Amino acid sequence: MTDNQVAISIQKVDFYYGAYHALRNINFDINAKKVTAMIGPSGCGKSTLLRMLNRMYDLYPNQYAKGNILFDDVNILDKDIDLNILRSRIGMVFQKPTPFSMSIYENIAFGIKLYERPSSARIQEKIETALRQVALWDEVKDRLHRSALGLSGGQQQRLCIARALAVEPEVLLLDEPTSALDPISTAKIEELLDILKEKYTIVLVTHNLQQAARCADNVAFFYSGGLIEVNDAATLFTKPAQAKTHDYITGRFG
Amino acid sequence: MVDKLPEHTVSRYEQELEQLRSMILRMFGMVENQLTQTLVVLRDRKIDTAYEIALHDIEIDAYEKMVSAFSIQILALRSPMAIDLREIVSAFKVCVDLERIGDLIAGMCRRIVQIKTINENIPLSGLLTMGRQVQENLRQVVIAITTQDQKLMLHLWNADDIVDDLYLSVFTELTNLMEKDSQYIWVCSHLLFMVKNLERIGDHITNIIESYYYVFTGDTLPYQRVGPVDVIEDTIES
Repeated sequence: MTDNQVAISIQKVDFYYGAYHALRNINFDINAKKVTAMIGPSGCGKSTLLRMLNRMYDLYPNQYAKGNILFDDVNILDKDIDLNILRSRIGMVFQKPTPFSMSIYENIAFGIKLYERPSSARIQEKIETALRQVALWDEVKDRLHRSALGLSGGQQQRLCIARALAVEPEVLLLDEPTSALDPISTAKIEELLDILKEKYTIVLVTHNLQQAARCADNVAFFYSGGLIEVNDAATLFTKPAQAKTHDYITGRFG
Repeated sequence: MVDKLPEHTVSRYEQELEQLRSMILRMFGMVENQLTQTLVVLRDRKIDTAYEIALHDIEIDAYEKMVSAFSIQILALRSPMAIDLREIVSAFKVCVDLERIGDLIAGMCRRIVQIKTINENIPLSGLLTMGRQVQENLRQVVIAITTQDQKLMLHLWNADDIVDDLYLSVFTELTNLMEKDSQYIWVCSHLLFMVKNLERIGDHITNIIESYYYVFTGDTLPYQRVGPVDVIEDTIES
């Protein structure tokens, strides 16, 4: 694999919440096996774009998209695409941990069973792999059949990442994954991103600039529905190309 | 030139950066003053005040420690980005350059104290011209920084060549005098060190310019400056 292989290519994308034009003519490439962070003030469209990448907006009426988002040469926005397959290939983790009210084991098995019917031994294997990937195995291996709701917030979030990973996606979307977590749990998730990017393409929406600086290879700055700048993290945070980016990251916003 | 930036949303942060800038400017003022006084002492050959000038160095050292500590504090507490990050990191470096300039001037003063008297036959005009060039560069650097004038920065960066040229000619002047009359060796040796100090101050000024050029542009200067051709090698060869 070359250093900058494109995993997802976003081309001339617009998005509407009814009459509201939330994203305007977005164009950029998300590199494979890199962490791409999307930053910008509330309402800038970054989460909207993240939700487009696995068609979450299909759950809501009156929301529609224009343009192309190419993933393996297939347009994600195509109406005929199989959403189940898409979402198994592009997984999502949300801001607040969303474990289901079931056991730790079932939380992960549930995700796997959505897409395939493996043997229970195979499920067990997949669960262990997923929990090891998020460094949760040692913490929960003795209580796999106890409720996931008994875990700490940080553990719950890692469980949710494990659930997303268990279906073996190619891309992992994370929407403010640590905003509800304490600094130690946050550090564990950030460490995890560093390891996971060896196998997965990661797209991270965050309000925490330092987190974007710490975790991301590339950073995209959005403002008012437009993409202002995409750059490698070191350049964007030390020498941004656009005045708007500069004012935002230095805290000079009106 | 950089356009005036909008203020930070957090006004305390804005004030801290302002405070950091004024501390650095104060250091510039102190070393400039110290150099001016040293040159007056040399011009008038009145060595009695040199010791006092050297003592000012303590104050400059204290400022360097304050600026370093304050820079670290802002880095830790504000997590600065982009131009703010560049400015704070540069302040951290520039205060060390200024402190070194203060040391070098104090070193010159201590040599003046040791020499006690400077015979009228020893020409000081070369040394003084060099000193004034360094003094002028230092003064202009403050203007370049406060007006964010990148052209002036580049001009001053190159103006260190003049200091280097003067260094070579004063060096030759003093060594010739030493060759002619051995009674001047002791004084001229001290003067040679003083000339070298001025040349080193010139180098610190170019470092400072490089730091501020980075602050205002985000770029490092395009190529390495060439210092004076090594005098010693030159003398050996000829």
